[in-house]
Amino acid sequence: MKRFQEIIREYGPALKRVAASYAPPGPEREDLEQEILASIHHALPSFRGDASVRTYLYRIAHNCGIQTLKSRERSVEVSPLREQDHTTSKTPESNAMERERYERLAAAIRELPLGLRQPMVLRLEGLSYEEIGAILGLTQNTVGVRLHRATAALEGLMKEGK
Amino acid sequence: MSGKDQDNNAATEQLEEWMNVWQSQVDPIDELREDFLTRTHRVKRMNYIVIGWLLFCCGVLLTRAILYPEAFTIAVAAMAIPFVLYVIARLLRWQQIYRKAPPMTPASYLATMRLHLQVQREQHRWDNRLWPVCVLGPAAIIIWALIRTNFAWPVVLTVFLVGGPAYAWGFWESFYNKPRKLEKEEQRLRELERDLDPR
Repeated sequence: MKRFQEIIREYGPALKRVAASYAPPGPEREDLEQEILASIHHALPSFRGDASVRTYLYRIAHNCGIQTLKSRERSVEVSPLREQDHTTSKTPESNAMERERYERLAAAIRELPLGLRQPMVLRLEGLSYEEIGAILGLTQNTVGVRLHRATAALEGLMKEGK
Repeated sequence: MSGKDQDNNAATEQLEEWMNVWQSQVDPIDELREDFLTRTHRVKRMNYIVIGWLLFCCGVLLTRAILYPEAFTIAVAAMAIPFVLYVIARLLRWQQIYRKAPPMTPASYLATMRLHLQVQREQHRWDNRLWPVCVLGPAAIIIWALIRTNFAWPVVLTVFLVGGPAYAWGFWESFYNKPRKLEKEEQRLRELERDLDPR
């Protein structure tokens, strides 16, 4: 349990950001965060140290995200580039602007297909191509190609949202 | 500098800018709530309670059939016990399959989901094959019980209150709800698989 607490302290913000790439702000995202934590808690005793803890955690977090997408009804999805409007009104101005830019980016990322979204999120987390490949089970070349396409797609989506 | 390099530099700059925005959010994640932690264990515990209860019912039916070997008690035991054992086997199998987002690659995870769906489809196929036994067996016993008790009102009431909803639910689940759910899951899974491997 101590190890779990340490991991959550160290990787909590990153896991929270991964959750943001799958669910809009609100109860769905909060539930996803809890699902991720519960899955990590469940899986941690079987961690043998073959991969780095970071790789291990990101895999679990993305799989929880996939699970969320699977159980979500297409029809209840919120229009992604508009939803930040009601989430930032209560924070102080500077924080609110930063938060708004982040939520806009997260909303655009959620618009990407899964195969582009996952490498992009991991790249934004600062992971190398090699680490991304290890987490997603892709070659470094494929990671490069997908990141290139994801960047172009994301740029388009961000422009559209402006 | 070639055009391609300039493109790459522009893309890198853009990526760095996004990276800064993305990593600017460093809020700690909420603590793991107790209800989320205990949910898995609760589901497992409930399963074991149901299995225990079903086994107890089996034991009672079997004991009655041995102690009072009449046609009625033997018929009930012979019909109910295989069905109860089948339900237990399904519960155990479900428990075995149930896993919370394990640390595998997304493609493998989707493949596991696909496998799970196939198992569910297979189980449903078996349910459909077994439905005459499940429907006609209890129906025969009920009619028998009604005739034997000369349509005593407690028996009629029990049949009406228990049998009615049970049959209605069984038909609704087998012929409408379950196939619809499986079809929806199949469709969602197909979408996710397509989404994960963009061409």
